[in-house]
Amino acid sequence: MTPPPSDRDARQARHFAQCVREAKFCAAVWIAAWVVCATIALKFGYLPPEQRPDEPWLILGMPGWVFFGVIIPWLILIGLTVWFAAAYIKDDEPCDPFPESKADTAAPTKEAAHD
Amino acid sequence: MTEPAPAWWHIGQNDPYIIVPFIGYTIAVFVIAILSHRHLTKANFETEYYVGSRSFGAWVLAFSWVATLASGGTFLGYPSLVYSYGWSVAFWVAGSMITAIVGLGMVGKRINRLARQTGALTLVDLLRDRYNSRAVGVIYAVLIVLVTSVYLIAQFVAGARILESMLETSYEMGLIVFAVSVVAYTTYGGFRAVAWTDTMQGVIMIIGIVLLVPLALNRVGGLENATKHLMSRNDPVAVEKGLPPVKHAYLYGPGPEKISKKTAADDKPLTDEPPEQLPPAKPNPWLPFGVGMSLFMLRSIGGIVMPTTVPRMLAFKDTKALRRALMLLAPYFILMYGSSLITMNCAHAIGLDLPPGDSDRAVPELAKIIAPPVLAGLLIAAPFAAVMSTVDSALLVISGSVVRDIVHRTFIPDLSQRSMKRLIFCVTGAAGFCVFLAALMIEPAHLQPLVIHYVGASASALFWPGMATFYWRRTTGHGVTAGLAGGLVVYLLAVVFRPFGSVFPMHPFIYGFVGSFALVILGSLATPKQPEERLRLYFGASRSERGL
Repeated sequence: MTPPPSDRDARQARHFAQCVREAKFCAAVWIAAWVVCATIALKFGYLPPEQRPDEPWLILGMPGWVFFGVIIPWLILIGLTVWFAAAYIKDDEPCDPFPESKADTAAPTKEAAHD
Repeated sequence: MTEPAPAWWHIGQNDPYIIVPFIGYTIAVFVIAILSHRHLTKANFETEYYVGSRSFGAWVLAFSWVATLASGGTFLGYPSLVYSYGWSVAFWVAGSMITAIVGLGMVGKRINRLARQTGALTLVDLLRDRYNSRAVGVIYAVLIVLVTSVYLIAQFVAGARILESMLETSYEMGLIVFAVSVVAYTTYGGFRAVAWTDTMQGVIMIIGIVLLVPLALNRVGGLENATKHLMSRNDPVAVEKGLPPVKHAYLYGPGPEKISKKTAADDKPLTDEPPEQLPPAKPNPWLPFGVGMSLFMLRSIGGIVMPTTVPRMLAFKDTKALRRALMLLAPYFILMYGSSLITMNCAHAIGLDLPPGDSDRAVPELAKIIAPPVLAGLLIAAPFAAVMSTVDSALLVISGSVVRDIVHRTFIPDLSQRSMKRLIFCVTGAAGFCVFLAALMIEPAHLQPLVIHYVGASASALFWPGMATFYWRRTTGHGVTAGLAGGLVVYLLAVVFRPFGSVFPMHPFIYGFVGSFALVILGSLATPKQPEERLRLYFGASRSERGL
């Protein structure tokens, strides 16, 4: 029979839940960036030759689809990455080595609990 | 008759402005290796050699991670694509916008904590321990050795080419000097030397490539002028194939005609029919939409479980280092790829005129036109730094996989520290020698295709087994084994047969990626779940046990 959960199990569960939240955020950003880029590229960047304007729309010297489909999302993602790193990722609780492991103690985590 | 243009690796010969900073850079690498070796003698050998005692802060984590991710292809192959295909390359490279947040943010904290708890020194350790399975460890290690070795060949060739020029010697001698020096400092200094030199190399790389932007824009009179020049440019490959011109081919996807390196024999008609009676050539644009979309995925997730970058995730000291590294890396990729995108789109307007298929020397040739000599020295050092930082990491990964993951943990668990040191030295030397021989015999024409195959094979085989191990309780060793082996097999089959290539062409990685996902899920659900006590170590108490 499985013994009841210990404090160690509770800490590990909190760590895992937080990592899942962070991974879900990254996955959502990834999918959103993919959809935005691909949609703009398909709609404005992959025009058939007969539909292409004689004077393509340039912004800051680059084609409009590159500016709105690649550069702007990229700049937004820089801000989002900084926010994610500064505010969304939580510092980890101190971790316990697994019972059977040869976990090294060269540089143990000494971070404060976050919740 | 005019003499053929010298290859790009010959631009620095006899120029002290280029040779002096280059030699200074090489000396710095060896000084770092010597300093790192002192740590090896003080700390626990294995922990120090493989993960630098898990003590790395934000700067070392950020720059060693990105320098390992960027290879010679980033500084030679990618600019070559922009030079050849214009603005259409923007979609090809767009996936890099999320490489940092996905690559480090999605798994970095989880891998680091589990590695500390289990004492894992490699990613293979982590998987083997989770499933208590030798088979998983051996298969994973063998896969890593295989894909990394192929990747190393291209990097050795690039490094040898640069040294060939610097030392004014033969290609073979350049290869020997490159192989001996990089194997020596990697073996002597271990992971810390690799990470420290990678950090220096990451800084050199970004300075070198960013400085070209204002010089190019100044020369061409603004980016708009450069783009307008591209509007009027005729696609030389389409002209050669007798295809009608495509309007603004360099400004829109799928871009101009794909360039293939052909020999004189390839150009001979296969029949005796006169040219006008042969069937017209079919258009073959370089980036169909489906390929661009799949490369977006590949570029963004390729760094997550790439064998050469994962060791960094086991080596940082705490979550603060990870968070700060992400902040440092946030603008790095747009600087690295955006700079080349701007610079190389200016190249035609500046007057750089290279024949199709010869564009790998676009960066150094452009630097020769627009940059002062001192900067040209830095620009030569940048790709060399990228090559070295990739090669040293890859060598360490191979020696780690063979010595720790296969020999020590599978066959000889009581291997003494002294024997291990000797074995690491021998394996790193042997790996360097084998790649050296391969680089002598196989000389790839372009770096970028091999780099993409390395990333594609890694992502196909390693992504889902890794993610499932860290995030899915129900995963089993059998599921992971099926995903590892199956992902690679499906990828290779897709490379050979190119399914749906005429209907909706996609990169073969997509098939390997989907195949591996399905195999991990099916293989896991078809085999017994791991004991709950074991799962608690990795995931804590389940929601039902916590009364949620």
